[in-house]
Amino acid sequence: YQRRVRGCIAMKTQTFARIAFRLSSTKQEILLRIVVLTLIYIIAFSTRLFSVIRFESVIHEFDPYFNFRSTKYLVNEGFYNFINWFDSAAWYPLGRIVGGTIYPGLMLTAAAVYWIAHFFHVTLQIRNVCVLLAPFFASNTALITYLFAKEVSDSAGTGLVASAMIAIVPGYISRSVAGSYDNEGIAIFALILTFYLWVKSVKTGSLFYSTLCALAYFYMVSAWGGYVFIINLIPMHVLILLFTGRYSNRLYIAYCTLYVLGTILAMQISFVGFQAVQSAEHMLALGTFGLLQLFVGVNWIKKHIGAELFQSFFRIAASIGIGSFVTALAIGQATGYISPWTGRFWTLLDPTYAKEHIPIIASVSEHQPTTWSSFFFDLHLLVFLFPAGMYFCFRRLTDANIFAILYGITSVYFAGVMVRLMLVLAPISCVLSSIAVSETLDTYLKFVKGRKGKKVEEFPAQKEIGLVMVAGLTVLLVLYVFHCTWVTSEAYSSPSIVLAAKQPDGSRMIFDDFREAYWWLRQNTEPDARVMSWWDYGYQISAMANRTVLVDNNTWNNSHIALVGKAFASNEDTAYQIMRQLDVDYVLVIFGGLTGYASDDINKFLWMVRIGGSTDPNIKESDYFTPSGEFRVDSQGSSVLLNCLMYKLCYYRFGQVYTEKGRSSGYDRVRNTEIGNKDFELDYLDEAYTSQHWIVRIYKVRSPDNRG
Amino acid sequence: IRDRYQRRVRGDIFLPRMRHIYIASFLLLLALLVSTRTQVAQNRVLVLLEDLNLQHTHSIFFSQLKERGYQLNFFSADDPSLALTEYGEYLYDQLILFAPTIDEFGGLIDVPSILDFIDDGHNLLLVADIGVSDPIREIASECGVEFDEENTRVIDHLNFDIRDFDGYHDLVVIDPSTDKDQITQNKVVLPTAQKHGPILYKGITQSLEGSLNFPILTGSHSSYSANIKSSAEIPRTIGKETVLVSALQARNNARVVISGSLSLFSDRFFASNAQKYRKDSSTTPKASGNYQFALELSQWVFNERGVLKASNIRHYLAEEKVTPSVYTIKQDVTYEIELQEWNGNSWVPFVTDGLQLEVIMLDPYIRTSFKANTTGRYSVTFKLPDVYGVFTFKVLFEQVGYSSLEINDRIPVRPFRHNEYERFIPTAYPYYASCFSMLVGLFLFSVVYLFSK
Repeated sequence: YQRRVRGCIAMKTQTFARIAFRLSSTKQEILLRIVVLTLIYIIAFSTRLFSVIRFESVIHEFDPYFNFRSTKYLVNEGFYNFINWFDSAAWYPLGRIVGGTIYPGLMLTAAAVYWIAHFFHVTLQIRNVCVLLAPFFASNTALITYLFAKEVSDSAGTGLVASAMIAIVPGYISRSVAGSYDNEGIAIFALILTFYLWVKSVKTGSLFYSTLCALAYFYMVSAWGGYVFIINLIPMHVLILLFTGRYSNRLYIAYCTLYVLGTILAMQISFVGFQAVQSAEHMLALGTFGLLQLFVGVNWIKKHIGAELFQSFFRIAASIGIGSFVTALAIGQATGYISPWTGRFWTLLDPTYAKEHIPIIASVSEHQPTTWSSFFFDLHLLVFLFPAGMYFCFRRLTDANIFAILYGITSVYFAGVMVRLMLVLAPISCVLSSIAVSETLDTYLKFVKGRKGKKVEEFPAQKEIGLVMVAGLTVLLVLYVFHCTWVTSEAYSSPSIVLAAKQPDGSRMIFDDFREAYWWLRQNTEPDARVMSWWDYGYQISAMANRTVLVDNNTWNNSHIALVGKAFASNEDTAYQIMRQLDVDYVLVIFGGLTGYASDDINKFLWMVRIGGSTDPNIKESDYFTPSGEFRVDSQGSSVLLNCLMYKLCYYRFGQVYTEKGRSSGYDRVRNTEIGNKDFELDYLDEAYTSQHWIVRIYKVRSPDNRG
Repeated sequence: IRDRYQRRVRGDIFLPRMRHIYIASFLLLLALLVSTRTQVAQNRVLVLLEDLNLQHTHSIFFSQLKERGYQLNFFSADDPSLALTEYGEYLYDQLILFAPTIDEFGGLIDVPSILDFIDDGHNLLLVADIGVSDPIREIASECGVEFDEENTRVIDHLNFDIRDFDGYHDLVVIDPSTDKDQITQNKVVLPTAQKHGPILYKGITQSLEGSLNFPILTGSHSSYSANIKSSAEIPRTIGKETVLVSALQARNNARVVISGSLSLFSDRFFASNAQKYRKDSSTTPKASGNYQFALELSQWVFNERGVLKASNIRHYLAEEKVTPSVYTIKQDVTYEIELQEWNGNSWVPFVTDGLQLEVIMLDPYIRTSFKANTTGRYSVTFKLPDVYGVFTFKVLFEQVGYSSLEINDRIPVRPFRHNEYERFIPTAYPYYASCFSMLVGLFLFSVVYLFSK
């Protein structure tokens, strides 16, 4: 029987081969291309599934929980209720207009997938749709990158290499593993799609492609705040083409269509609204649009009146034009009509800006400048191939190439400023690297094969050199694949809501404290109970515990966060006043001292002090340090720190616990020290719940003393 | 979702079976009966005496309580069978402690159990005297009152009773008709005692520490507290700070009256005359007002007076008369509330012009007064501010003597929906005009440009 099956398979392969051989070589190539792309599509999806297989189909991290919660709201309540959603369970008592403060693209995409699946009676769960949306879009990105790279380099082979590279590049995987249900997951797809259509429309000058480009841009605007990158990069491309004398009517059609349609469409997203024509980030695009009209208009006039008359005309027109533009800009800025540069934008241009001015921006780890090592970690081989690809682009400049070069240079700069923007760099480094790889392979494979008609080698050992180069590059590419898979598996596939640690005997230990505690809140507290925690956990509490929170990861109100920071940084008496004022019922803190979980609230505490101090000058960072300027929780630590609310809530009853052999009680395994204030009672709070490994501790705020 | 969830939980409790429904409805009826009974009649009183003889020396006070319908259960304070609760239910509604020098309570009663009794909403009349013991001090201290040191007493060399001329001048007389600042003028706590005879007082003094305590009877400017055996010490309390009788109304509306004198309630003081000593004999003996004072004090502390309840609390849209789950900014909202007062027998309308409604989100956005009317039904209509958020509709009524009312309703107020904004604004007409003229202009231009050759 086995023999028969084997025979059957062999026969089938033979038939397939026979069909393949019967096709012409172009058709064979197309077939090959489709097979390769299909494989890439599958690989891009499946390499992102480590977390689902290791843990379970669960949403990761913090922001995705909000996206998940609002997607559920959208699916249950419908589109109009969604865009009008006023969430009274967040930012108590201020509330949050969710519909007007989000980019709805992600939720709409997931809901669309859900609705389509249900229309065909495929009863997908909404959670699974959300979990698997990012891998699905990563596969689509791989396809679009193929088209983009093909358009830039005019070679299908380059496209295939780029597509294969982006399918597994860690810089992109970090944001698109299964469960990482965040804007970036679909935004990179939209970004590359927009760029592809832009290059296509510049090359063809077709109204059709530029309209499609505007639609892709609209999708990008609806998905991610990073659309600002597009609306600045494309005008830069236009300007450079203009100044290098590469202006063409194709460019005029492409840009004017994109700008006018794209801006009108962008204004439909209520979070963007009039920013699209007012805020400083969009001014470059507007200016370029104006300049382009001016350029065309001037050329037209020049054609009609003579050169002499034109000179004087130009002088008058230019001075009037520039003068009125500067006045309008000045008036706009002075009256606030053109909104001032926002903090996040300044951070892009000046990495030290946020640290000095906006603690809430600097406190986020993904807003930190990138280290050299993380460039290699996230891009590996691409770091070295990137400049080579740039070189090949410069050697043969085209409109499309210039765009790739521009994209490459700007995104390298942005990725250097902010870790998070490595994501934007990853696609273009794949494209440029693929150009380098395919150009190199083209050159040396010819050496190996030998040119047709020329039997004599151009220089000695040509074939051997070719072989060495091809083999070397192959080895590097194989290493790249191994590196990418290893990084994905080790670094980017943990959900962070469930923690895992290796035990001495090699087995894995799972800490599921977060979900345990959130579920406790859901089951054991009043439905309208208000929970105070540091803002990092706001989205998770509202999504998993379904309780009202004071602050969350949408850090739109600095002073409200500062009030919570002040409560945590003050002593119990002051904190109680604040908590009463804010109607707090429960306080939740994250504590890692027992397990060694390092990103706990004590390690984040200095940010609470800084943010709290940004509105209340009574909170001084220096009070929480020892005289020699150290932050320590042992007996040498400052007394202000040892008596503040956060310290007490984290270390309540910890003084009686033995954590490590040979250490005295109350030994903190994160700070590696014995805590300084062990025996204390809480005056205004009661311990309500402490999770199994003490990672989450929940306290109930007492009501005022009955007898005064 | 919350509603659905709650409904499911409820469904689990009441299994849809007929037998269970019968049992449930029976239990419900029973619970209703029990609850009405406890609400109207809080008449089970535990009286703890230092010495059972006090029943006879203070018989007038107790008999008038009995006449008012209270079931008095007299026990010696160290009786080993004492208990306040049985199977988690309180056996008594009120507690009278006439045991100033008791060192340890008997049975299951101790200081924490008495404090729990108060915190669960029951009332306490605590009477101390010279030589007050530690447990009594502790109860008082937990209720915000500090008694003076051991063996001290109130002394007043200018306002003592004439019979005490040769004594320590510690039988103090407070004459409500002249010493108006020494007795509370609050008509809820003491409606008429201010008009009756002088009050005789002999006992220890107290100072008030808590924020919810208020004095009922205080010493005069010349009174002080001292130990008669060692007169050299500086008095701990002097003048008007020497509080003699004080009250506490806890946040849960439990009432506590603390008196520093046991003899204040005695038959002897009730029956005797009182006359302040004056050199010029300008005073005349009058029948003491102690009886009236003790009577009205006990009425107040046992919730016979000054108990308020709020009912029919509603808020709704002024026009549609419906209560939405979420309000929208700038809507007109009506808030209704009905207040009633317990007059000892029944609930009667409570009329005041001091009732206010606050609409708060971090800060009060609206603070408005209800208009007083005779039916006790209050209503106010206001416009919600142009600010969204979770607002608290707060009615807080706190007046000394009355039980306090605090009603908080947390209601989200949302901004306009996308289709609730005004559609055609007059100021926008120029823009409409420019849009349409542009449309027409472009069309005409196209026609002219394309066909004029």
